[in-house]
Amino acid sequence: MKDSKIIFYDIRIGIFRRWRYIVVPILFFLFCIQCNILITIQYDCGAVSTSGTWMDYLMYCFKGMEPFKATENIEGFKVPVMWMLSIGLCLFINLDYPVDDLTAFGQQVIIRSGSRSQWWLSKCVWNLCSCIIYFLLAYFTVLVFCILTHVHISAFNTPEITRLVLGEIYFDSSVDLTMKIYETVLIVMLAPFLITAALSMLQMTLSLVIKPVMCFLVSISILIVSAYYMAPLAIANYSMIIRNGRFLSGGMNTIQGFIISGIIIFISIMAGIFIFKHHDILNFEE
Amino acid sequence: MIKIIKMEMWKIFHGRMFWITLSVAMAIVLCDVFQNYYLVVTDFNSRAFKHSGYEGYSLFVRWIGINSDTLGEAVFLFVFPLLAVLPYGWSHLSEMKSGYTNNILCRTSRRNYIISKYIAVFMSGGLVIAIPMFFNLMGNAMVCPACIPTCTSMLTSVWQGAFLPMLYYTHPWIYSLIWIAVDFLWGGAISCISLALGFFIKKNVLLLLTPFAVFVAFDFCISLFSGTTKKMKLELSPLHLLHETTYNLNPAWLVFGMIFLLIILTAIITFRMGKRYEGL
Repeated sequence: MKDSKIIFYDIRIGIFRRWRYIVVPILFFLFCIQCNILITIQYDCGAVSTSGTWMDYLMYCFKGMEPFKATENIEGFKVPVMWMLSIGLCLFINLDYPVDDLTAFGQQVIIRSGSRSQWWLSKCVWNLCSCIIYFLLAYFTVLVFCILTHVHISAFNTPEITRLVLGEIYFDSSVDLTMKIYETVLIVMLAPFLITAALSMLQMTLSLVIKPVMCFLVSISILIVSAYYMAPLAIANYSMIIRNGRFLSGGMNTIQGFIISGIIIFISIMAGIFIFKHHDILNFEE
Repeated sequence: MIKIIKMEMWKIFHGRMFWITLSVAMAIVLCDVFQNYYLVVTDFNSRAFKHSGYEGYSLFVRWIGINSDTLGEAVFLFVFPLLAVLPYGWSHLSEMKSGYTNNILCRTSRRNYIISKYIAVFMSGGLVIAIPMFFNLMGNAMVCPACIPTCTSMLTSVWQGAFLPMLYYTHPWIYSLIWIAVDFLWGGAISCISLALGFFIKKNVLLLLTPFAVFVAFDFCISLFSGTTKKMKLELSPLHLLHETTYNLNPAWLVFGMIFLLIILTAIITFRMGKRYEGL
């Protein structure tokens, strides 16, 4: 059995025949409505002079939360539900397909291909493709919303809307919020994707050892720890736009985030091959 | 009936998932105790407690039911719906799938089986939440002084219109134990959601994640429709109501009403669907 045949099979069954992707447009549409309400209120009272761009809406969806300091924050820690949903939904979609496949048709594929590592590598490709589809769907939903509400379609941000959607009080007024196109692509589009892909790969590797629900619990815990501590090892921090070094002094470095997520993806693939080669797949539980 | 309930309880306490989930929950609440210990030992003059002195380190301000600024509290409260269903919420579906249910149904009445299953699932969800919370209260009691907070210190959001404020400022030990009991009821009610949904959802992973997804989605929708106003109103998000101190008001009738509603809804669905289930 050829490598490409297994990959195409996984993409067909694991992406196109799964209904869970339907939730993505609904969720991002709701995010856009919330952002639109926020901007419209400010626009109507004259606080801002524009209704923003497509990129401003994307920034709102993946903004995250400002760094939390327990000793300074009287209100306490509030989990950033919108950011958790935007990252967590992708992790949920990718949670159980490999395990499902292994307890059903996957064992036949392994016998026919004659290689366990081939099966695992195909699942890794599927996982990355699934993350790409997820983010494309998200970007496309925001685009459709912008077309419907006559918001300007542009990959550039609007500084005054950026200041509004990311939190006006938080920023130092000296920070230049006008971003170049490569900055918006790297910070707003690529960083959340790569971090989510790394977390998803880690989750998939863990699902070889522990139950998928427990893996999801671990992923959610990583997200909460990242929201709580702004530290380089709390990797989900890199996906929060509000904590990026571009806006915040001492914030997260995007390139460092790319390197860390690359390392996590590589380690997950290699660890997965090693674990899977020594795993008893006949007694594998769902 | 008693015999089946005993058997179901035996299955819970001899199952792997109950102990694994309990260990995870204990690890999370211990994280809260360690953070409080670190705070008390090293951060004595921190800004948050500057105006309140020792009261800021009171057990009744710092334990997981009340505090809202430790990592353990954040993780425990957010994954609460997931922890509640993990020990035994999946049992009904897996028993239906394996045909084990049929073996029970030909030995006892359908009603007895459903009632015992409901009680067992409720107990498993409640215990896996209440035991770690009790240990957290005891653990924090070792590091924080048990001084009674005064209502003028404004350290917590237990104010007029919240959950039993009079009791909190007069008998905080009783209050804390009552809150553990409330979270026991929440845990039980949430785990029964998965029992009721087991008749409709045939995938284990989906079944276990649905209560969590519903709670998070509900929370997001409430934030979407509540607007940007800072005016205090009733707390309607069930995810926030799992915690004692909420930004909005959480009166006792609202908390107990939500739990009661959840129990009634899940019981109706479980009994109606259980009666119709043909075991084929």
